[in-house]
Amino acid sequence: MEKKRKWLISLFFSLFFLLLCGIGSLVTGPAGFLFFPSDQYERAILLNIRLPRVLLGFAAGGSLSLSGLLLQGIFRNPLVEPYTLGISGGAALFVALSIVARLDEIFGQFAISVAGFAGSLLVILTILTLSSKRHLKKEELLLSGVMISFISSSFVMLCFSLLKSEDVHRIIFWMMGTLQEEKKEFILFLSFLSLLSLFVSQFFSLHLNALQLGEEEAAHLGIDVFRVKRFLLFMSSILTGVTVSITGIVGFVGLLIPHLMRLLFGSDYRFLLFSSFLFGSSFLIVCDTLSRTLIKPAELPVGVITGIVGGSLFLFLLLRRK
Amino acid sequence: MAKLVQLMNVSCGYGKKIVLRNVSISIEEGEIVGVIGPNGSGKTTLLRAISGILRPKVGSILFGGKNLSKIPHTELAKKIAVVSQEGPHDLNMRVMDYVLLGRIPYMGPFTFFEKDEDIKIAMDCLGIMGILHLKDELVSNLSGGERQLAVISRALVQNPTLLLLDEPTSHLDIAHKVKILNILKKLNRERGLTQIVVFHDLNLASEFCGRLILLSEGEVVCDGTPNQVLTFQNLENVYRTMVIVKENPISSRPYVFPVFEEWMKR
Repeated sequence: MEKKRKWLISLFFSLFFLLLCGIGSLVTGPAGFLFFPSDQYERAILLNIRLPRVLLGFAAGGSLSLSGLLLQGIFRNPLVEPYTLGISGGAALFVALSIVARLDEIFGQFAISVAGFAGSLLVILTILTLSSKRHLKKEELLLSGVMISFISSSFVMLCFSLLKSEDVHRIIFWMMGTLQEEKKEFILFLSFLSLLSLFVSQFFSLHLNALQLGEEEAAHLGIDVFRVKRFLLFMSSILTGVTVSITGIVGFVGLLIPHLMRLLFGSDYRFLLFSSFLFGSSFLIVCDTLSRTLIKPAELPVGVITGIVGGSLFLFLLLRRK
Repeated sequence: MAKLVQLMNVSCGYGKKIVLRNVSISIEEGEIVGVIGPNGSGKTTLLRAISGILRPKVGSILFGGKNLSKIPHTELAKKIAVVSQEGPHDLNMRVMDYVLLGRIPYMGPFTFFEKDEDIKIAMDCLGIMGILHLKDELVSNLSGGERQLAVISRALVQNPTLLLLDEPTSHLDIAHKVKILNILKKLNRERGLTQIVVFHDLNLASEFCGRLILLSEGEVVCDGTPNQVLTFQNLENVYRTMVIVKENPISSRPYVFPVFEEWMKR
């Protein structure tokens, strides 16, 4: 069948592209190109420094991009991205508070991630409670998220105004996001969670296709819109929350990649789900490679690269099409 | 003729607002029923209640003898298809893919791609509506008339026994109006497809339907043949506008002429 063949070709193309980016990122780094590790030292760089970063880039890029795509589908709004609902804001606030309380000095660096997750979880629970009210319109839910975002960022500003400049610096660095992560367990967990979500989301691809017609039309096609929306909202929020608490706020991936994929593959979610995930992964891996090599031995924040590279690429493609 | 839809003392609305009041009607298999009435009289709400989207607050609705709210969503989607007032305006999707969305109720949770059978049914329906040549166009590039034909095709691939249409021809030119109504009539004749159609245009309703239901402020004012319903007394009562009803010379159905102020003096 024609569509099946097109699907398989697209899948292989996306996987191949990801593989290319992954290998490319693995062999490049501040220590120079390493194709075949000749000694233990080089092998350690490949396996213990670069590989975890590539893997985290894969998981975080895929998660953010998938989450953005799902949220855009649920809200039928092209401007929604994983952070719109205030999940990142909640995380940032708790991270700021944990730095104020010196939790990381008492419990170690991972306390920051735990605090970030606690913050995002609080927002997720609020959003889910709101979304279980049937009479709440989706625009109102979206606005509530935006408000949560504003409130938490105001509190973060308040922290800034009260803190010493070195603490402010640490909060800002967390907020800009990085794929540097000491705990391998976190990376493996996020990889597992993101792949699981990708798998589960496949079962909703037809629902998401139908939702493009509007909620009432989707209901006419036999879809329990309320439950489907609530589940997908839950899944994408958890995905965003876990990602943010591990990597910080890596911006733009979740907005940019789903739109790029729409330009590339059209509006069929059977194609959009996996391609958004895989290209999101590839994109973040490439951006991270740039961030750690451009001004070596120093590093640029990866969120800056995703914004500049991704934004320009998107503008170029959008305007060229017209 | 078996009863397909039965509304028994149905009241429903949104939140605290009651839109339909104590409506009892029954619709037989193979009927074409027109629903008419002023803006806000509850026509669309009636369709939403029959489609199962809106649960009645009071009373019950039977579909094929079963309680409508007890029938699972996907089962219902195989029996009832809806052509809503709002069409798909800026849908960046090929007509064929759009029409295939109507096969979703027939695709199980583990079916990922449409089967050849689904595609064949979609082609058939596009053929019936006369837009098979447009199957690879984007929906957003279609004209208003073509788009409405695509919407009806999507409803037909659901293979419904009941088709609900909410003002299916209101924004179209006269050629598309006639074309669409002709096709719908043919579907009724050849396949026995039962249709409930909301009309604003009383004269189209009169021509197209064997039976009309006149709604006013959420209540059924009159239910019967066009000749029984479209009388100037009924219409002036409900619409509060002066009209004259004459016989259409071609079909001998009633034809409604509005009377404008400048002619009232004479």
